[in-house]
Amino acid sequence: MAELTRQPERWGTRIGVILAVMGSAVGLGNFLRFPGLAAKYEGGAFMIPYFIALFVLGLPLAWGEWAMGRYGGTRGFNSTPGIYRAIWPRKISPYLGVLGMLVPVGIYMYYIYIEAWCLGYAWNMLTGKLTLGADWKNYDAFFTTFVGADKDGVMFQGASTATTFLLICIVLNFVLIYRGLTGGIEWFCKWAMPALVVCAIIVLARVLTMPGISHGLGFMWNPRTGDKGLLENLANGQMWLEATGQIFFSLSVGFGIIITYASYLRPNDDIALSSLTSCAGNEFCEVALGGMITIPAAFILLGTAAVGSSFDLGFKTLPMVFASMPMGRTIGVLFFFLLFLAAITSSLSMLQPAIALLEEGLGLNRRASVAMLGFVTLMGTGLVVWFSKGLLVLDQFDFWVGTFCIYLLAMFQTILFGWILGVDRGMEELNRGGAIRIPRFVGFMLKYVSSTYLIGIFVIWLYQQITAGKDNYFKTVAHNPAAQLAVAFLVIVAVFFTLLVHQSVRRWNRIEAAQQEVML
Amino acid sequence: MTVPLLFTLAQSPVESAKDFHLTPGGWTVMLLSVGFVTILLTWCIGKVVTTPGSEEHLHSQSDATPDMDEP
Repeated sequence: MAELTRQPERWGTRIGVILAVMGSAVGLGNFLRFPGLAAKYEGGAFMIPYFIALFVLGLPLAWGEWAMGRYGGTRGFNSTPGIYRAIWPRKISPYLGVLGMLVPVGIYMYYIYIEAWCLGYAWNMLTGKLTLGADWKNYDAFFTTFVGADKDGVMFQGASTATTFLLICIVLNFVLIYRGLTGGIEWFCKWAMPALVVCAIIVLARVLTMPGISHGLGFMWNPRTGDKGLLENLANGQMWLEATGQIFFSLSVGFGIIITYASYLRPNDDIALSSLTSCAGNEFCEVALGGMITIPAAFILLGTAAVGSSFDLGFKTLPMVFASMPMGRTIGVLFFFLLFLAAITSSLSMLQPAIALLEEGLGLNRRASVAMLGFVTLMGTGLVVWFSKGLLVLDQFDFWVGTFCIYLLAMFQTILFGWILGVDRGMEELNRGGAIRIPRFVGFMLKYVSSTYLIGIFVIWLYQQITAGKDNYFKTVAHNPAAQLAVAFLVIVAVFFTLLVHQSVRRWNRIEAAQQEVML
Repeated sequence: MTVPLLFTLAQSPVESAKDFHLTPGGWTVMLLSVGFVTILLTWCIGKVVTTPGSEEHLHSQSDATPDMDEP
């Protein structure tokens, strides 16, 4: 097997792996997307489909992914192609694992740029450059200039501050990845996640002492803020779709990350409680911290206009809110620093699946793997940064890789757990060494309910996208050359990963044949 | 806008905000949601730290191959 050719890498502590998975899940969506959605759909009403989706889809999928990851890991595989091959020994299975690398690496290519914005905004808050008065247009103009949203190629002209922060983020990510699983990712997450929570609690304390906070909290949490009642709000199908999507994306299930992280556990390490704890940590950051900070603070200053896109809320509205409150500069620095920590703990996790394949599939050492992946991701990020006008390429990457491919991968993984690994083997794997016992019905729920739920949501979402009048990504690709370039680049990366998988499969077959000869 | 003026703005919520005072329903949803996730996380962390084997260094880099643990 593959493990005989290299020393297995392992997590150092249980707390370490929990914080690493929690760090992967906690991202900008917890503090910007969730509060915006909850406020948009009458807060209180939104929480009902949100928690149903958590129990029906989120938690079972996370448990399934942890179980499959450890199953593959005990058989010597850490990459999704290897793990899929271990679970489903067919010729096609490792090639389906290409998605398990394309998704995290593709997301990393644009996510690292947003991570740089967070660091840049923290710095600009600190230096006072983001104290721009009470006119929202000033903050809009600052954001447009900072990210280069008005013209393509502007970020490469002269000394752009966003580009400088981007370079810092890239170097930081790759240094940590180079240091390895325990020395890099685990070490960083063990102090970054507690620091993130401390920053968030300080910001929360300030927000909760703002005058008029009751109105902000009311706008966020009241189940009935308009003319509609709770039951009428619950009849909104779009709300169910978005609540489910939020749980799905927030827990990082179907990204190919948890399955890779779990593969570094030993056969009898607990995964049932570890998975639940990391999900609970993500939910705490999302509901108890994100839900109490962002919208309530923004609402006090802007009223109902506070609800907008995540970028508008985070990078235009909130700086204005911080500029207007006593101690706002300090709170602003802390808020953007916590966003940066949330982003970097996520971006780190996006690199590990591809590193795993390069190491175990091609037998490359860490330095060569990091260099090769660094080159590929640098090209993708360069494309995102160059075509910065209207953030078009970033948006395309987010749609095709960050949404479309995630649905495909999550659906495949649900089928892999429920129908190929099977409920019996899957639940045995999940409960082995577990500090808590997961009831057997979770396996059946994953096999029948979660998979049907996920396929249903995907079909509705796809139909909405195809028939959308505006913001139709299919039409954009058909007409816009930059969008075509973005999609073409993603196809090239997918082909590149397919070739790597092909080479890896040949190598694994060779090693297994040699082992069989020795045994005979 | 000057800082004192901004401070005044922050002290007085905008007109539209006055319609959204936290209602008993809002309190219930907020306390249930925040309380549930907080209690869940607290219970999980408590369980993790009280279960043997959570803090010690479980593995080393040059550990045995996973095959050794297989039946």
